[in-house]
Formats: sequence, structure tokens, C-alpha cells
Amino acid sequence: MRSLNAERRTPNAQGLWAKLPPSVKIGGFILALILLMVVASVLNPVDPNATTPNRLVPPSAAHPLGTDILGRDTLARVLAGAENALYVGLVAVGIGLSLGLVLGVLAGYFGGWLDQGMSVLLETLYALPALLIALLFAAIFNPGVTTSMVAIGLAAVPAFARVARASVLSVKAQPYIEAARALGMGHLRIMLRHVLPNILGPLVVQASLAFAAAILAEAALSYLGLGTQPPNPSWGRMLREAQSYQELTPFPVIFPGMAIGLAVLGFNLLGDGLRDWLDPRRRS
Amino acid sequence: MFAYALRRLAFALVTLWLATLLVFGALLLIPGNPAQAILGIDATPADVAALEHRLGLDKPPLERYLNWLGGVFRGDLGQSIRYETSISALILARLGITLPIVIAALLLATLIAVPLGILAARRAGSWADVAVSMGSLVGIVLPSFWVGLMFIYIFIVWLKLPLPSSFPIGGWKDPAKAIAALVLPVLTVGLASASLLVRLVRGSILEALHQDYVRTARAKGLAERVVVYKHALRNAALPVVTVLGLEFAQLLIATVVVETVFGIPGLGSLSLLAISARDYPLVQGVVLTIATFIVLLNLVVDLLYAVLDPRVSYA
Repeated sequence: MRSLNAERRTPNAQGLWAKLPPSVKIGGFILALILLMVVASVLNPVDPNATTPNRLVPPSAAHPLGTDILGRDTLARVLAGAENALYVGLVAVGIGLSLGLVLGVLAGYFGGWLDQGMSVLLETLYALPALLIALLFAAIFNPGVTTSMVAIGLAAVPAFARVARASVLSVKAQPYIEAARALGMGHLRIMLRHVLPNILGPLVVQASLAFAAAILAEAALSYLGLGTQPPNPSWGRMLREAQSYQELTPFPVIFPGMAIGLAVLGFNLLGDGLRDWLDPRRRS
Repeated sequence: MFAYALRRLAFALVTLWLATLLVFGALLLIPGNPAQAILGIDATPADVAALEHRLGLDKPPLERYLNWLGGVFRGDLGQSIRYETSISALILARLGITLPIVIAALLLATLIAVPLGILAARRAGSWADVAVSMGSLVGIVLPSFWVGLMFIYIFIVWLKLPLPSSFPIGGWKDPAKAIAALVLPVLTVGLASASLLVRLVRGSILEALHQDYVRTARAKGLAERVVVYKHALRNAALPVVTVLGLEFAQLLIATVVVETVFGIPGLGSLSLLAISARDYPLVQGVVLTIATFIVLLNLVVDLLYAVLDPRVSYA
């Protein structure tokens, strides 16, 4: 019995890969590349914050992406920036997903006044874009990575809650929920065992898109001087620093921007592709 | 329809009220004494007490909130600490720079996105369609401030175009110079919006072209141009107008970053100055202004939707 199952699983896995839309494959490939950058950053012997006398060197064998005005290696800083971007993205998406999931599932599952009250609250949060919340936070607490991560995460809550609520509403109408209730299961058990596993797909899609948005928002905040603080490398921060001597050399501006674009592209492609793939109407 | 409009209006008002609570409540979260934070650690206790009195911090929070809310209703957002002038006047002056950027950028985005979206939809699957899709993807994933920096490098450093690198001190008193200073910012913001919009136009037109009324229009022998522009485009316009309205609101805040790139003294740079000066009343004012714009635009879009689309009933 076990061997039969194993045999069946292999062709399925291959079939799954073949069925995945190209955007998911390309997105996955790009994200693997970003992960590789993080690994390279950890293994890299060059300190991204070490200053050298070789200032504003164009790309060469010693400095593949050149150096900035303090003689710091741009490649090492771009790699370390990947670490920073993934860290901020993970924490921000974690905050948005966990809060949004709880609020959305409760609102969708119980409905009634809870649902209505929550939708007014979330609509208000929706009226405040991530950047605006981050500005408010930066004014109140000290600007920094933690402040920006929390702000970006909170700004992502309404979108996650919306997706979770809508999915719960469609799952709630299924006969197996009624069956679970007829068996005398409690609300918490139904939510965890039967509702949650069935709404994971749309949430994964939303998480991927929110990750892309979080990376963009962190870069923007760091560019404004409200995110990652010096000397820590962040792609947005690098652009802020390089802007002042942009006329001298374009390289310290070009590479961090391309890194941001690549990471955002990866998560966007993955999210869009997964959505198409999960949507039965679009699957061909 | 009337009942729907009323309900939607009530909802917008509740949202706005919650926004004032949020913006005001955020100030209560400031760790320690705000007056001390504004003046720094070297300030004398007398100075701190004086500022506390000026900010009304010696009164209970509820009284402060009601006073502030009363001012907001009269269009009076209080006095800026840093500039020592009326916050409403400061914000209005800055809106005079930010709003023209946003409006021009949206116009540019529409002028680019509508023809390209129609082209891509009519020739779905062709190289033109692929090129438009790729271009839009590039515009979506690249951060606008980086594109702005590249534009400065390409147009000013490299091609040496005679564009000023910052906004004239006199502002709109020198219109030619002011407009020249806004060319690259508008291009930067406009291209980013066009990238989002073109996807939507393509999708809407493509959907419209598969509808029965388009088949009927073709069957009765109408020219393809009439079919596309008169039948498909009109029906595809609804979602596009909706997104334009929502995008308007988003751009108000998104221009913060682009204003920084080009050194433009708009609403965005005002908020950054307010944060670094710890001018809390000014931060409140800017955030509330932007939130109000967003809520009102959402309301207008929703009501327009109900008016424009007779198929949807909002009983």
C-alpha cells in the first residue's frame, strides 16, 4: 500500500511542476536567487560596512559592482541589503498576516455586528496607506527598522483581513462545515481544522504580493531616512546616500535599484502566477 | 440609490471620525513628555512648562481632543511649532505644488495607458501586447524614486537638458521655471501610474471585446474603429475611472518620495520636515489632510459608480 502511494506521488509531483504557470517558475527562480544572495552575504568575507581608500571605483575584478564614496564594496552592501529586505519583509508580512487572519476569520465566521464593526475599522485603516502610517509612527517613536516594520505590517492588515473574510464566507457555506457542526465540534476546532486549511491558498497569494509591497515600502522609508539607519546596508538607504554624489558615478545608484526591482518582481510574479493557478476559471 | 448614497456618506463620516481619533490618539503614545521631546534634553523646566501650556498638554486628553476636533471642523488645524504659523495655511500652500504634480501625472498616465491598453487588447498575444505587458511590469516593480534618480542622471547629467534640478524659491511666481522643475517629477510619477493603469485598460477592453454587444456591433457591419471606441471603450471606462480616482488618493502620499528625489517643497517634504522637527501638530495636520482626501475620493468614486452603472442597483 505504501509503495503504491509513493509511486503515485512521483508522477504527480512532476505533473504539478509542468502545470505551474511560467510566472510562478520565473518568480520562484528569482526568489531562489535572492535567497542565494543572502547566503552569499553571510559567507562573504568582505565587510559591507568596511571603508577603504578605493573610493568611487567603477566595477572591477576586486570590486565587481564598484565602491561608494566611503570606499565600501557595493556588491557586499547589495548582498547585505538582500538580508535586510527579506528580514523586514518577513516580519512585516508576519504581522499583517497574523492580525489580518485572526480579524478576517472571526469577522467572516461569526458575521453580524462583529463583522460590521470590524469592516468599519478596517476601512479606516485602508484609508491610511503604508507610507502615511509609517510617517505617523516615525514622528511618534524613533525612526528605525523596527518602527518601519511594524508600520508596514499594520498597513497590510486590512488586505489580509479582506482576503481571509471573503474566503471564510465561501468555505462556511460548504456542506463539510455543516457536517462538522452536526458532529458537535466547537467553533475553535472548526475554524482551525476545517476553515483554515481551506483558505490558505488565497492567503499565500496575498502574502506574496504583500511581501513585494513591503520590500518597496521599506526601500522608500529608508530612502527618506525613516527606515534602516546607518551604517547598516539597506537598498533604499544606499540610494539615499548615493544621490548626493550621483554626478560623479552612477553605479552606486544603479545596482541597489536593480536589486529592489528584482526582489519585487520575484514576489509579484509568484503571487500573480499562484493566483491564476488557484483560480479555476483562469486555469487552462 | 438615494438610500445607498446616504449610507455611503454616513460610512465616510464615521471613517473620517475614526481617522481623527487615530491621528489624535497616536500622539498620546509618544513615550515621555512630548514638550520635552520637542525641545530636547537641554531645555529648562520653565520652557518645557511654557510649551506644554501652548500645546494644551496641561489639560486632560478628552478636552484636548474636543478642542482640536472643533478646530478641525472650522478648518483650523492649529499652529505649527516649527514655522509658528497656521498649519492650514502651510498645508494649502504645499498642496498648491503637490496637487498640480498629481493631476498632471494622472493625465499623463491616462494619455499613455489608454491607447497602449487598447492596442494590447486588440492584438492580444502579439509582440505589441507582450511588449506593453513587459513594459508595465518593469514600471510596476521599479521603485519610483530610483526611476527619478535615473531620470536625473539621464536627462540632466548625461543629456545636459536645461532642466532646473530643484523647485524655484519663489514658487509659482516664476511659472516657466516652476513648470520646468516639475517635468521630471510628473514624468516619474506618471509613468509609474501608467504601468498600473495599462494593465487594467487592457483587461477591461479585452473583456468588453468578448461581450455579445460587441459581436452584435460587428455583425451589423460597423467599422472596427467604431466598435472599439464607441462600444468597447465606453463599457471598459467604468473600472478605469474607478481606479483613476483611487490612484489619485494614493499618489498624494506616494509623491512624498518623488518630491524628495527632486527637492520639491510639496506636502511630502512638509511631512518629513515636521517629523524631523518633532512638530507633532503639523504631522497630525498633514496625515489628517491626506486621509480626508482619500476618504472623500473613495466616496466620490463609489457614488460615481452607482450613477454611471445603471445595471447595478443599490437598494
